[in-house]
Amino acid sequence: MLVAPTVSVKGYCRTEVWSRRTVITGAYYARDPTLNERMDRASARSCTKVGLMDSGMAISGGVLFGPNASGKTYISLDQHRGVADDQKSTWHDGFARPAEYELFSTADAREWLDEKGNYWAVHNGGLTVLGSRGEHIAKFPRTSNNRDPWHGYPVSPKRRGLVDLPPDYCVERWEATEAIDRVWARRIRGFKV
Amino acid sequence: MKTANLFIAGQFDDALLYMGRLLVFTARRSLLVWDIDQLADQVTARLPQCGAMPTFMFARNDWFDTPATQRLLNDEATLRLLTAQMDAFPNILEMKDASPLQQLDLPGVHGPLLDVGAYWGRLYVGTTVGLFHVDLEWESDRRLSPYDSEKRLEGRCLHISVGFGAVCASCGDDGLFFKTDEFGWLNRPAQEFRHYSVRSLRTEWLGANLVNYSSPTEFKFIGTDTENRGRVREQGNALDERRVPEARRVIVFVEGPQELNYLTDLLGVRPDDIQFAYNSADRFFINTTSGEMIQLSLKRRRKKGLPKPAGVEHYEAGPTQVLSAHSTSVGVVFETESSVVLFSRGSWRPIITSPVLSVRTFQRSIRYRQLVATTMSEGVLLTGLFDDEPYWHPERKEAVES
Repeated sequence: MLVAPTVSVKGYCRTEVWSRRTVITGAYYARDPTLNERMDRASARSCTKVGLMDSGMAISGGVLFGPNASGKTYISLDQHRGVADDQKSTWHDGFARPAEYELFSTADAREWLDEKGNYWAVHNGGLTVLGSRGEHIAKFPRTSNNRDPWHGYPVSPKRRGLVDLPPDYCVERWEATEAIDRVWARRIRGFKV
Repeated sequence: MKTANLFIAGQFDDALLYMGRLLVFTARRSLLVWDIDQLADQVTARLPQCGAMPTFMFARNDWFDTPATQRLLNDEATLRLLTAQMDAFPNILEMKDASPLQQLDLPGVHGPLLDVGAYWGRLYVGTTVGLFHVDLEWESDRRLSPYDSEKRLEGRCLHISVGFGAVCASCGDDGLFFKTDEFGWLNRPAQEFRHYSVRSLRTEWLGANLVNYSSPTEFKFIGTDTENRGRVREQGNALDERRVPEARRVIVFVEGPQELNYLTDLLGVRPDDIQFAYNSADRFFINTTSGEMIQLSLKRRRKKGLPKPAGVEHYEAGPTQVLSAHSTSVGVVFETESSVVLFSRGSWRPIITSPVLSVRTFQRSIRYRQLVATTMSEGVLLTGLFDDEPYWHPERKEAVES
């Protein structure tokens, strides 16, 4: 079982959440049956040391983080690192895996999600270049199973159109909460980034 | 290059110069109207040391090209005097006391604004929910009044191109919509908007043909069939004081999008190395990820058909992340993620060094071909441009941008 965090970082940690145990199932569990046990140990360590932030744990296909304040785990996938191709966008080298997880946790904490359950995010008012091809928006598609780790990747409406466009109400909310300014809201809505 | 900057503070979304007015779209979906001649007069009154330059720079760019002015500019002593008057202009002049002539509501226009245009007295507004037009009464007492508005298309309208009697709306994944003979100049049965099911982020006129950009880097050619009414005086102009129909009018968009890969192949540029592509009336500009700006001049053609290259120039140290580009008669203005820069005669000149909401130029107008209207979070900046180099060095007097 996880222990309640002794240190709270950035105000994300809530005891009732941390007392919940997250169980990894599905493909990641099939690849590594010891995963849940290792996760418990790693999470307990990271909770005790630094609260929400952890450095992740290397597993097959990526690096696993979490659980975060709402109990979600996140995997930074290897396939979204390195050189992008037509099928896969990749994170910018300067945007490290823990930052990726932290961005997901921010989107989760601020409920930057659409009606399909996908999370969307921007960083530093939209200024941070998240992707290796200059993307400024991240998408974290809804997992098919609640207990599966989440993953994400940088997206660009100007490259791929509507599928990579956060819904207008998300952008409106970002603008209203000053997560982005009017300039970046216009750029996102207008497929300019 | 001489520049003069005029700033009006406010929470604005976009700005246009049209028919002697500065039209500013506010964040609350209304329209503020300034008389551009009055604004220039106010600047002249505040800056007597600038002589008549404020009028030339902000209200009557066409006066630079009159035979009388050309004669004066070719005289070195007069050129020194006039450029000294331009140099006397402050870096940015804020017009704190310039209240607008009027404020209008834009009836029936909904949704966050994405693009605006004006043609033949009609304003076009593209938003996240559709393409709208608003007809304005322009003639009476310099004050405008809207008398008709209509939602023309449903869905996100990213970009509007007007010209040659036609209106083209780029609607992203929904495709490209176009309508010829918008104002019935051809005396033919009225047409509705037609649709190309191609992705369209923007279109740019290439002469009277069109180039569709399905991404910042992918573009295809759409040929047109036009008629030329020789009896109507060629104004080449949609954004003029006088409402003279354009002589050349698109009858029909005759060909579906055709590949222009042969141009990039000719340049030896890999598709994945292109960061941003743009075309003016007779040139392509390719900005590469490696920081090179390639300018490809095209042959002037009377006949229909795909454009043919005439010459290539390579320039280094281009901007890194171009978002949009806009032609003026003295060069091309590029909006990047963090600045607005003018590319003229192979060199780069910053206009603004912060992110902006929109950049507009007015290359199809008569009076404002050397003006840039930039809307920022804090207000709107009008930048007048004058390229003095050809007058100091007559041997370099070829046109920068046709």
